[in-house]
Amino acid sequence: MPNKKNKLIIRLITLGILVFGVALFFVIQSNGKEEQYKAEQLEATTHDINYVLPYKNEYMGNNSNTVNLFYHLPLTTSDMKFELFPDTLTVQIDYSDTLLHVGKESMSHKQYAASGLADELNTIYKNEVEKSIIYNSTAAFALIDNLEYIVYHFSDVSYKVSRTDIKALYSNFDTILNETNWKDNVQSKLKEKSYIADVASRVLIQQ
Amino acid sequence: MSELKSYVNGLFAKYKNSQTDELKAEILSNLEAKKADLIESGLDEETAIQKAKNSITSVAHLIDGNREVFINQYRLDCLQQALIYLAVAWIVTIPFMVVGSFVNLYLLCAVIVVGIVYLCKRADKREKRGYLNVRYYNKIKQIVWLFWAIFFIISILALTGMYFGSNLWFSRPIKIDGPYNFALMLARYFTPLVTIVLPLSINSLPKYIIKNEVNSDAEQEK
Amino acid sequence: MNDSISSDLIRGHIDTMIMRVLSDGDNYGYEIIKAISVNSGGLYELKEPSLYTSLKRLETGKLIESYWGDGSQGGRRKYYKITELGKSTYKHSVSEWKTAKGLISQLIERGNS
Repeated sequence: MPNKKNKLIIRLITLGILVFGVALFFVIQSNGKEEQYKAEQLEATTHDINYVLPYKNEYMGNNSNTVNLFYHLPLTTSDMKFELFPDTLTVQIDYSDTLLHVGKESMSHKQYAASGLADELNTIYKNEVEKSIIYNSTAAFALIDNLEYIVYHFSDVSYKVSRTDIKALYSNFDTILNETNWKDNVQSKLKEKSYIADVASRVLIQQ
Repeated sequence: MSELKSYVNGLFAKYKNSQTDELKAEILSNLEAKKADLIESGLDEETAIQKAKNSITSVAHLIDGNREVFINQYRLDCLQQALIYLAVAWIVTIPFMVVGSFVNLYLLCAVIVVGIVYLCKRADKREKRGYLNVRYYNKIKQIVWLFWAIFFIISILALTGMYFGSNLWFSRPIKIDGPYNFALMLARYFTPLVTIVLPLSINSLPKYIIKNEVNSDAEQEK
Repeated sequence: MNDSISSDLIRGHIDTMIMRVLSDGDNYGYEIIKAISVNSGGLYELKEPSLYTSLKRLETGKLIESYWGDGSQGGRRKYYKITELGKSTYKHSVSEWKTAKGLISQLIERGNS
């Protein structure tokens, strides 16, 4: 009985188990990281601008590009239907739900549950939606060159946001897509609820 | 057909593909001669025929390429070698699990199955002898290598076509941007290569026939 | 016929035994066995399986040749004939045996010859 080979087999299997364990650890870790990253893309202040840079385009009329852009921005947790109006350079997003429900849904993943009284909750949800609208509009206008208006259509209310109003919020809109600029000028401010409410009252034009 | 003729046909029943017609005829004619001789010396026909039959009961050792082998030991050697190849293939493919290639799990199953069979066979200490044909296994070896080579070349061509010829099929090529996609490409190219375990395992069959041959083994023991 | 002693001692010499028989004249399988039996005075019976193994080996080594002849009793028989190479090999084997026999006797027997 060639014991040399049997010893080799045992050594190989031991090695295999070791390598397997290490690889499994990596797989679980990277899955965890992946999950975490995905969750971060659902909220404006943790969203990675690089995630949507591929959708930079000159024309809002490029249907698939425009639609895919919004699928990579916050509020993607709700059903969206898109209508593109090239003659007015407007994109309309129809959420089949109320504003508060959309806000609640966008906070429903684990990292981000809210708790409190009904009124408090509603304020939180509204704030969340307004934050996302400001963020998404900034991103869309920065990425899609000829886009002029975005209409966010909920079942109970509709808001129209214009490029002019969004541009007015920032002094350096032309270089806003730079990662540091984006973090400092767009995202960090959105951490303040008072900032969000203030901007929303100016920029979200009810239809 | 005479009784002796059908008896000889029976002896050669398993060996249809070898060129055995001449040997068959020779053995038959010698048996007939023996029978005639025995009858002449006084035996009745039935006994004479039986004695003739008894004089040769197997022709296995006369077939070209046939070797008498310690079958259990031979099988053990084959299983052991296959186990080694499978274990190596398993280990080599584990890292690719990180890019989503789970080939190593199939190989792990194979290792476990072959391993269990191997351990069971090891427990069987009986010394079983049998005949195996070296020429037959050499032919099998060649055929398997040939088929594997064809399979491998086609796989590589298909992969290369997918990666580098995709301009022709799709509107945009598959980009290899970054270490993840590079590793994934490596994993995909590696997977058909791993199947080499099969022809490799078969490759050693003729070697183990000779290694476990009966007379040479007796010399080794001494 | 006591095989158990003979088999091991004799096995190495079966080829030579057959060549001796064929030196006396061409012959075929069964008759070769009979001739060996006669030569041994009935003390050794060559078995058919061993016969065919030896014949195959000798023929492969070109020490013997075969041809099919008409059997006098009906049915063709495969006859063997020793070749020139076979003849010289046979002579060599016999003298080798004689030398070995002398040496072994000297080594295992007690007292002088």
